[in-house]
Amino acid sequence: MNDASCEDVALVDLADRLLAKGVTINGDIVLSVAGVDLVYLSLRALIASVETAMDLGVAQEGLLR
Amino acid sequence: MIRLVAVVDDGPAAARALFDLTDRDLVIVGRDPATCLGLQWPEPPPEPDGAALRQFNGLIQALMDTCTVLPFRFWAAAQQTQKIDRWLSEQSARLVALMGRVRGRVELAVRASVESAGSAAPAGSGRAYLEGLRRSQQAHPALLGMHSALAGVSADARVLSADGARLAAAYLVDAGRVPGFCRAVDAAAGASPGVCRRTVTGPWAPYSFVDLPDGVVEPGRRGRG
Repeated sequence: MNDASCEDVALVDLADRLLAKGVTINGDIVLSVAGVDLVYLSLRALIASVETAMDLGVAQEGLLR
Repeated sequence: MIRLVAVVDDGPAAARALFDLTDRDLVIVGRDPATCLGLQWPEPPPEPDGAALRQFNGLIQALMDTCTVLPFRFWAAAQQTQKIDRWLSEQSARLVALMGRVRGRVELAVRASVESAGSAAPAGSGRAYLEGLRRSQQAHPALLGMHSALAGVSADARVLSADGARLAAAYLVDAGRVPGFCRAVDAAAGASPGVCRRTVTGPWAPYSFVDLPDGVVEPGRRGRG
């Protein structure tokens, strides 16, 4: 794993810890990592780009912005 | 508004640790053995981007070097010091016990995954579809086996999320045993057939093992939109 990937993993773990409480109540939040908007769904298992999440129909723009 | 940072067991030392890391006015409520630290924050809380999260965690990490820390989450806030003081008084025994449990220990985060079996074949019935969905939402046995092994070498353990191919968990480990725990991760992964990837991050403050009640803590904000 390169340094950038390690940083992203650490940031995901950090977000899980710092945001888990409270955010999970309402669901979605957008977090930007290295200039790319990422969406956490319930901040649990899934992390994907906003674009991908919308393509898959698992998120609605109104929930994310 | 007061953004809450942590409850600590050594208020003066903790305040000194934060003093050089922030230009905000510190809010210090209570006294040993349970002191609450916060920051004066008149404007809305920041967006939770990477920089803001790292900055908040930086405060927590600085406290970890100084004393025992019960960290608040990013959104935690209170309006009045009187409410914090009352909450500390009401929760004192619980907070002291919690600090005793995490003292000298750190949290390590482990993410592991197995090769995905891919999408299930098209379901022939609603029942088959739902059974396939249920299987995909349950942790893979190899991941559960790995978690069980790691739980056995840690003081406490929590599964944070799991599905058919991935597992994220948190482990409370004695600070002096972090290298040994990392070796245990490698060993557990090697002994769990199918585990193809794992990462360990930390040491973190014991976020996953400290669930401060929401009573006094008024969520500052819960996300965009």
